Amino acid sequence: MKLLSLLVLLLLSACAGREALLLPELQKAGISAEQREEILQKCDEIFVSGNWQLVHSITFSMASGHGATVIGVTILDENTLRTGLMSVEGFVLFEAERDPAGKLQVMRALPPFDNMEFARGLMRDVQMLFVRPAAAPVAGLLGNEGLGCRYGAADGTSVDIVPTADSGAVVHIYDRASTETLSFEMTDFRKTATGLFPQKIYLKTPGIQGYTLNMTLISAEKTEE
Amino acid sequence: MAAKLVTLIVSVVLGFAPVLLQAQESGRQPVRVSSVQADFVQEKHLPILARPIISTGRFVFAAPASLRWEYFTPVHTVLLMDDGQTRKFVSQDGKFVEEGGMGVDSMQIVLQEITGWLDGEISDTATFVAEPERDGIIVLRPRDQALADIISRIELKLLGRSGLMESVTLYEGPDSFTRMVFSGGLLNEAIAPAVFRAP
Repeated sequence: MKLLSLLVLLLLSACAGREALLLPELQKAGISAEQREEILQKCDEIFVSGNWQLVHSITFSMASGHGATVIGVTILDENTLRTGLMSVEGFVLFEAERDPAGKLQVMRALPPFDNMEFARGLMRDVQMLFVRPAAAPVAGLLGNEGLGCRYGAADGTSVDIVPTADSGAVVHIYDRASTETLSFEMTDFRKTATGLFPQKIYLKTPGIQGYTLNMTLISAEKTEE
Repeated sequence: MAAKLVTLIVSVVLGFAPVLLQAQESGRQPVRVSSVQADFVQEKHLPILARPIISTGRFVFAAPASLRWEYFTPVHTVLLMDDGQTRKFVSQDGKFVEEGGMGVDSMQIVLQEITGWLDGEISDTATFVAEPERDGIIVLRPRDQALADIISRIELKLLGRSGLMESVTLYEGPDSFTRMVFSGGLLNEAIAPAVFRAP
């Protein structure tokens, strides 16, 4: 049994090693000003503006094989980010808030969500999904990914966005070592009366402790500003 | 968490069964329940929510131990308990996928609680203390402090003298609660066995 577990771990590690991408080179040459403007606009459109209440169904799968379907709530309110996870039956499993100064406050966290590592990771994911990076984007050719935008932060991390032909986008997040830590794909963007939202988001983190999230938009409601 | 989730679910499920308590409080003989079914609309209220999250579904119970608890929206799920087995199915891209974990296995305990309530053993439950009915509302409070930290109380609102529930409200905190409002309730109607089989 232990041998089997070890083999599984090694296999997962090997898979994880293959999946972790390195930051591709950004080539700015050979792109017209018109193309650059178009790409920058497409990259910007994947982020919401204003105050919103977003509700998703989220099916998460751990690398270990465990997983479940929950309902996720995201509240975008100026610079405050609030998020909650609840069972389909309505029971709140996790609730947290990050204020404009970046301070994280966990209001409720039931096992297995009752640790700060999970809280920080979840808030990071939510921020990456819905909050426009602070850095100014640069358009260019992102290796084999195609034309896209790079938001390079002062701390050395990067966010690459590659708009896709079907009006979706693939997003890669890289750490200071230029290694991919998170990626997600947004598809089936639909325009509502008040905004443009992806109906589906597929998020993936590499590694042996990695996980995937399949998110389906339930509702997007603009709240008072 | 699984056990606490079970307790929560038990609590909500039990909302269909207080006919017996109502009968006991009014000095009448308890009604023997062979089946209960109703549609429900569930509102989830949280301080962080600008607007509540609305869910809809249907609940079917047949004595002695068969249950179908189905949400149609926003996520189509079916929780089944039948023949001693508990299973949960989630609709993904139009197909039901069986889901394990998150307390699904533990939910078999639900059946014991349900049948206990249906037998009129409300005051004997190991989980909650039931306060006497007041203005058609029965308040349940957790016995265990650890549970009380996450579920402060449950309010069961009776639908007149029909023997059915009008609503169940589960309070997780002062401003956090889940309210299920029932409609179209049917008591002791025949239910096809296929209702409790995998979708």
